[in-house]
Amino acid sequence: MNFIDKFFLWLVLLPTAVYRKLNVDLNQLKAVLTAKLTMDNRRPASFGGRSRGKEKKEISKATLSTMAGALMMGLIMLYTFGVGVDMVTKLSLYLSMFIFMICITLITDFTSVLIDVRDNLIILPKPISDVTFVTARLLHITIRTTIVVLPMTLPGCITAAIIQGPAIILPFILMILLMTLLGIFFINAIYILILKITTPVKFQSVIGSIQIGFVILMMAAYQLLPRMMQSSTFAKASITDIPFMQFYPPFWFADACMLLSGNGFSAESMMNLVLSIVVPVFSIWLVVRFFAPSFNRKLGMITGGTAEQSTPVKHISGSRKISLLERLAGWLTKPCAEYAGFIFAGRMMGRSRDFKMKVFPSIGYIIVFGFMMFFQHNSFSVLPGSSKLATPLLMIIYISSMLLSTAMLQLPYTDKFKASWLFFVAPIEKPGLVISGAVKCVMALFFVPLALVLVVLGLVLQGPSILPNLVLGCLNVLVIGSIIAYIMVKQLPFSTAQEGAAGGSTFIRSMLLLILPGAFGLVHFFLSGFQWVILLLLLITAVIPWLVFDEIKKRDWGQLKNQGN
Amino acid sequence: MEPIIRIQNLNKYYGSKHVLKNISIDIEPGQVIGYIGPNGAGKSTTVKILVGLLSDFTGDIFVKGIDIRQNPLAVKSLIGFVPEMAELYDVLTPNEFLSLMGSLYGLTQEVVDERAGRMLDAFGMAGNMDQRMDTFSKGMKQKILITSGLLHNPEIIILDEPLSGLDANSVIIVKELIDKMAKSGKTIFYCSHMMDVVEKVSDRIILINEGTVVADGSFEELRQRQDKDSLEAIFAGLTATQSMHDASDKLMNAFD
Repeated sequence: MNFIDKFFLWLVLLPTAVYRKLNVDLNQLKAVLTAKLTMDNRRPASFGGRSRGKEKKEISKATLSTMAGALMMGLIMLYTFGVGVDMVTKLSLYLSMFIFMICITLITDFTSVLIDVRDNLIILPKPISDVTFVTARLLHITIRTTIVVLPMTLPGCITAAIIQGPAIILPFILMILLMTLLGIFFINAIYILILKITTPVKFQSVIGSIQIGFVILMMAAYQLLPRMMQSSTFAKASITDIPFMQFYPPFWFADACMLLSGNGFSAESMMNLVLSIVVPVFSIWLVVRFFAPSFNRKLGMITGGTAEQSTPVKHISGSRKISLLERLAGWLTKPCAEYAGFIFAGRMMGRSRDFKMKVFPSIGYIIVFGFMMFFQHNSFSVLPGSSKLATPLLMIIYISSMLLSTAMLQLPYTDKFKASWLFFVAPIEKPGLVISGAVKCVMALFFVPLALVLVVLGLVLQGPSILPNLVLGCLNVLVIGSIIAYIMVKQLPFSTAQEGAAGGSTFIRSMLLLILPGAFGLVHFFLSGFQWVILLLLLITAVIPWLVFDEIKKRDWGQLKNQGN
Repeated sequence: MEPIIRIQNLNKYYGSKHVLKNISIDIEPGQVIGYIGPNGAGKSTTVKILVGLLSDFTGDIFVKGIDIRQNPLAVKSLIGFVPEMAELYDVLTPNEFLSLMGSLYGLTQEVVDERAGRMLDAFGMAGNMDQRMDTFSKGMKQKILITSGLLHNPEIIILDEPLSGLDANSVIIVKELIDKMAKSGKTIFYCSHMMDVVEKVSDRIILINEGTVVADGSFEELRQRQDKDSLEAIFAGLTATQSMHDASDKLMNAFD
């Protein structure tokens, strides 16, 4: 435990009289909380604390890096204070961001805290009373929330005080507190809903998908919101002009905050103040009274529910259906090791939660970026001798190489890295074959579909004249992808632990990831007017990926970065 | 007869720690070898070297006359490995996992489907072929691992604690399977802590302690040599540094 955890532990254990009155066993409470906080401190941090390479040793300062990450988020959120004409608008936006962030944190970070199934095996069989255990859990959640909320809202609080005067500080803190409660209610409601719809066995995978969805959404929001707000209409807008704002919770809180700090009194503001206090308190009462008991009961079923209880799916004998993945693998790879690498990577990428969490947000980014490019394409300078549409389409193509490289870099990593023993035991001549199959799969799944969509889009909107440039762009991305794979992917797919990942040259890597697409894109941009040059380049770039793949395939066991386990 | 596995002067260090000290073993085809020893004796290290997971050792290993260093692929093709409580890519289904293993050993999809279907059916798991393994119990996963180790019909089968997590009926199946495979000429290298099972299934027992072979022979031979009744007693006699009674006394005395 670090000093922050120690401080919070000391703080929550202060009201001993209250705990005694509730029949909470203080020693047990302290023991459970100490263990939980120690474990939290060794878990990867929730905000970007998982920088690869740097942390070769075990994680031990997760709490501090979570706080640092939350502080960063808090600083980013400050831009909402630059939007709108009045303080209510600024605060409403700020609080919207806040509740959004807190919900994401709760769902990504707290699921493991709320649903630590090990509790069922380790803590519950011990002579510990329900009230002690529930208190420990509640206090744990409180500490975890505080660790995130405190640094996240600190910059906002200071900024608000500078703009509005110190009178706003206390109301601000109160509103943050109430909104946090609302966030907890909201997440609980989502969990209950999921448990109602699915079986407890599937619960964790559904939560996993929701987390990924949220991360994609967050990525999109962070790209979209600042750009929307930069536009002049937003800068001069006031939230009070928007109809039905009365039904938007962050507005209540913002208005109530202004009222409490002594700025403007109206019946409407009074109403908002009442709403902002009553709604969170009432919803927390709902959680405690109705949600939590049924929730805990259902949670107990998560560990109990193994395959024996679920009905076995009957295996369909006879002719097997060949999946799309197998078809693709058949076309793109040679039999045995490379084929196996392709299929394996394809299945794992779609199912490994870790991989999805790391890579899928980039998809959100590409989608948002794509839409922006598409709808702003009038403002682009027109390519020499080409169409208006070519530039945005090409930009999307080159930007999408980021997705490709993100997926590629994530390819070797998994929590289940020990399962890779099978590659080392099997008679594989060159592990490069498996790697090459996996890299081809990344390209087939993370780039080819997008490329097809864009090429078809270009054809429909612009006609065949756009084709050579688009195809060259796509081939260039494949070249970029294969070069990155050649330089970066030096382990078997899903064979390496994330934490111990020896990235080493982080700087060189990120430079490469930025410079390669940039350089290719720029050269392409300047040459795009010369049709014959493009056609010639088409021929050359069509060959390069295959040459690079041949090199990747030659990689032998000695060249692998991780040597078995 | 030429030994199918010949280990000569095998040494292995982890850093400065000498874990295998000059181990030399010849194994005849069709033998069931019980490879036993206390925790940390070097059993798993020997197995890892044999299956090709570790390559930085000194000494020579020949499998069917093939030098493991010269041609590791040929050796790997001959061996089927069932690891102890191995990690699995449990987001895959048994079907997908076994297809992966089959592809890596150069089997066609048809062969994999046919064999995997039959073997899992024998284990009573035909209905679970297309379920993801993350909901499987330990025993179910172990059945998949056993299947994956036998899938390519290897001549040598290396089993590292293969019965862990299996229910009583499956234990019987596997024990009989070992017997039948040995009779059909396959060589079995069986690593385990379960003395009663080793005693029953093995033709020859090799006991290692602190990196050296301390006993080698059939159960009968060991029994006569050591003048003990059970393998458990032989094991204790050869490996225990202090009396077991002392240890259990100390454990009991911890409460005083």
